[in-house]
Amino acid sequence: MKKSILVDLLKLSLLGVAIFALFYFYPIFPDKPELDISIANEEKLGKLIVEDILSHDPSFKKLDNPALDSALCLITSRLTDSIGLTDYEFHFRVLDNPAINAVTLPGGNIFIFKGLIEFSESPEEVAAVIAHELGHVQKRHVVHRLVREFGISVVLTVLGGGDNVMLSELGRTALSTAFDRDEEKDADRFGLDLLVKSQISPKALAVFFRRLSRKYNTMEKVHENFEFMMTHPHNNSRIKMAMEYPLPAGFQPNAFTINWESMKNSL
Amino acid sequence: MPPAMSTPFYHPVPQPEEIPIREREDAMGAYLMMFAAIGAGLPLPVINLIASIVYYFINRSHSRFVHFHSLQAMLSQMPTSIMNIILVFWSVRIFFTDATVNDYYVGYIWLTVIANILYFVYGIISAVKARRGRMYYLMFFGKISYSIAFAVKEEKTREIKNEPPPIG
Repeated sequence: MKKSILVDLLKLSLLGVAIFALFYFYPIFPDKPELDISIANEEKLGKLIVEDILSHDPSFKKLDNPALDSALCLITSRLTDSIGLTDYEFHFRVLDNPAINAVTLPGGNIFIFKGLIEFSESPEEVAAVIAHELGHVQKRHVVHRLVREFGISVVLTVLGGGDNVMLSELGRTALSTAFDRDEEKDADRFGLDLLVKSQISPKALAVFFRRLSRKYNTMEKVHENFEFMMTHPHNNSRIKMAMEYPLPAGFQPNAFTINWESMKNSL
Repeated sequence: MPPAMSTPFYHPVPQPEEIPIREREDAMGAYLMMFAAIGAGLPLPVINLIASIVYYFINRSHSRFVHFHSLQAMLSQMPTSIMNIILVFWSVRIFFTDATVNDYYVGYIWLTVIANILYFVYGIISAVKARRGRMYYLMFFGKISYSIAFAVKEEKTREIKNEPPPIG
C-alpha cells in the first residue's frame, strides 16, 4: 500500500510540474500593458517628457562639453552598433548634476549625470552603466512602469497634448521610481551581453559597483545623495553576476582610445 | 487470528446496502461542505481548510465509511487550498509592491486554476458516489484515507477502573 501511495504521489507531482512547465514556457496571458503603446508613441512621449524636464527642472540642465561629447559618442556608438536590430533611436544626454546616476526615459532617451562621469575611472565603466540602461530601453521597462502607475488612458491623454500637469508627473515618475528586481536583472543580463558583443569586459560593471559600494557603504548616505545605489539594489549579487559572466572563447577586450582623466579634468 | 505486526490489516469495506442513509449523507456532506466554505473562505482560502479539519474530527467517529470520505475530502482539498493561499499572497504582492507579473506567476496561476477545476469536478463526483454508498478512491488521497480509516488498530487493552480516594 505504501509503495502504491508513493507512486500516486509521484504521478500527481509530475502532473503538477508538467502543467506548470507547460504554462511557464508557453504563457497564455493577455498582452503586457506596455505593448498597447507603439514604439512611435513611446518616442513621442519620451520627447515630450525630456523637453518638459529640461525646460522646467533646474537640476536637470544639459551639460555642454565638446571633450565629453566626443568621448561619449565613442562609447555609445560602440554599444549601439553592437545592439543589432532595434526599433529605437537612442538619445544620450549628460546632465550637469552631481548625483552618481543614469536614468532611462521613454523612447530611447538616456540621461547620464555628471557625477557618474566624475566617479567612473574608465570609459569602460560608463559603457557598462549605459549598457545596463540600454537594457531598460530595449525591454520597455519605463513605459511598462508608467502604464502600470498611471493607466493607459492617462498616458494616451498626455500623448494627445494639453495636459502639462500630468506630463510633469509622468516625467517625475520616470525619473524617480525604482525598477523591480526582475527588471533590474533583465537589464543586467542584457547589459552584460551587450558589453561582450561590444568587446568590453563585463568586469567593468563589477569594478564600478565595488567602488561604489566601498565608497558609500552606509544606507543613509546613499539614500540622501546617491540615487544610483538606491534604485539599483542587491549590488553584491550583481557584482558576482558580472564577475562570473561566461566569456566566449578567444574574447579580447578592445580598450577605448580616450584620455579619460584629461576629459574629466575638462568638466 | 490477530494481525501480525508487519502486515497491515484492513477492515472489510462496507457494501452500499449495509450503509444507512444518515452515514451516506454525512459522507456526502464532507465534500459539499467544502464548496459552501469556499465562499466564506474568500479572499483567504484558509477558512475552508479549517472547516474541513473541524468536519473531519467531528464525523470521523461515526463510521469507517464516513471517516474515509471526510478524511479524503479534507486531504484532497489541502493542496488546492495551499496553492490558493500562495496565489492570494503572490497577487497581493504584485498589486501593492513593485513585483511584476512574470512567467513563473503565469505558470503558477494556470497550475492553480487547473488544480481547482480538478478538485471541483472530482469533489462533485465523490459527493455523488458517497451519497450512493460507494467507496470512491481519488488518486493518492483515496489510498491514504483508506489506509487510515480502515486500518485494524491494536485494541486498547488497558482498562480504566474507578478507584476509591486514597486514604491517609
